[in-house]
Amino acid sequence: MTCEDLHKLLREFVGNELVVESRTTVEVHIAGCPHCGTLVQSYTHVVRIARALPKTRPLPAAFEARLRAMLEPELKDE
Amino acid sequence: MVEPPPEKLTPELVFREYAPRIYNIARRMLGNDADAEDVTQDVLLQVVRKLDTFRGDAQIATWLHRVTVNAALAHRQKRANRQKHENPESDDDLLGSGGSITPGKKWNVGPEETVLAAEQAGIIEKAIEQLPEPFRDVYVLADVEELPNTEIAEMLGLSLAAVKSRLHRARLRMRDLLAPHFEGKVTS
Ligand SMILES: [Zn+2]
Repeated sequence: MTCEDLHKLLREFVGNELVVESRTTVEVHIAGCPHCGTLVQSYTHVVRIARALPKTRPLPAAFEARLRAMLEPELKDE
Repeated sequence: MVEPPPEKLTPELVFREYAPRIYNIARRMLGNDADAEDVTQDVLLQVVRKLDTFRGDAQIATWLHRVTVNAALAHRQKRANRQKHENPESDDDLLGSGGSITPGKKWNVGPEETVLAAEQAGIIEKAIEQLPEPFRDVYVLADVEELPNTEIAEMLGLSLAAVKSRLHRARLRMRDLLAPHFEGKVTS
């Protein structure tokens, strides 16, 4: 396996989508290639930090007030 | 152990629970507060009016993702039409050809870091804003929102292959953008 080959499999490798044989080939390459080892490490981290970002964002206070006023008939319906 | 009964979906509950999620996705896709507010308002009105037709949390979450993405895309389209009309750009025009890979140095990060310091989160949000829109959309939906690629393909009207390719190239660009902040601080 060349570095080019590894680049093509990077997304699937990090996403755990490769069959065992290909996975092993990649792992063997990484063990002997510091460049690709570094690439896999940083690529993996890019995926991980995205998942760690907040999934909600507080509404700006003025916007929340406007929204509540607009939705008032529905919001007090219960 | 007794499970608490599922909370009834009231407009107030939907507002509290989902408005900050809708706003978050719209803000990341559109990159500014005013547009994100327009989209959030639009989506919330739709959902509150259709509340009776939903049968629970999972269903409403899926629906909201879809409607929010649609509304954000429509909003962006409207803005683009008001400005000048540009030729559609290819992925290569937007990101340079081939998604070339720079070797880089080892990143100075813990292997199991799952909580981001505020400073780090800010750096990452800035990098996301720098992604060209077609790549930002896929990156946000796939890696931040963790939606399945098939669902993203459907939402964005792309083939599955295009989603995978854009996601890969978005990650490589994110890696380039973030490298100055994360790499090379440790000697190894
Ligand atoms: Zn290599």
